[in-house]
Amino acid sequence: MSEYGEVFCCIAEGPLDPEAIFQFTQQMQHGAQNYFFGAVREVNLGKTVMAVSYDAYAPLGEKILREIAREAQDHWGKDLRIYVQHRVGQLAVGEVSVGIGVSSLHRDESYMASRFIIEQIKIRAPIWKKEHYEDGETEWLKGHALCQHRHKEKTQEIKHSCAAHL
Amino acid sequence: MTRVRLFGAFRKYVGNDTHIVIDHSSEITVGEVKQLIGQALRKRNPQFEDDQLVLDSAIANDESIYSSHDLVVPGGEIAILPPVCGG
Repeated sequence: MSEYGEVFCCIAEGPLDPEAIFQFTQQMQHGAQNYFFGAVREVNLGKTVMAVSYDAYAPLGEKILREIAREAQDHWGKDLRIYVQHRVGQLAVGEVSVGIGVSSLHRDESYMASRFIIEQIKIRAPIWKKEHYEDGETEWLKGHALCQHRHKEKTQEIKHSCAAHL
Repeated sequence: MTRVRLFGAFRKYVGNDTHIVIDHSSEITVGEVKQLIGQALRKRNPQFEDDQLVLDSAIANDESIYSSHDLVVPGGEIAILPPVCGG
């Protein structure tokens, strides 16, 4: 039996089910459960957004999500139970695009691991978004270049930043 | 010959297509792959001028991101990944 807590990572079109995330992360020996949901907001950089289309390289993306989760377990506790789901396809304003659930023995670890995971998703997961504006225009948003060397440095920065709050 | 999957901002240059093909008969570097991708995109869509997007992108397969030292062998499928912005 693995010494690591169970991890579920998924990139898919379907809606997120908060109850499924809650059920997955619930552990009798864990006293803390932390949930993060990211949603499409209606204004970005001064433009009114009607919807966002998410594109993803799912096979590699799910592997990278699992790597991020494992890094969180190695840093904040191997027993962490982690659920990560990111949606693809067109989402309207207010719809949830990403959900993260982390359970841990005490609250600090689940807060820190959850923050680490979303920050890493933003710079490492092969996911892209195109905004649809009220005037009918669309725009692929600029992002973070994928560079393994820089990611390792960034990961250390985030871990140190999170650790400073413990 | 290698099939290249396109994502994000690259999609706007190829209509409903999801791939382009680059032509090479031997192992080539990631830098050479990017040059061929730029040429193939220009051929596919003369409006393509965003060479910086190609330079800022990573080359990958289903399992990993290529480092700048890796070689790409012909006959397979790779992907070009523009800067990411999930969440």
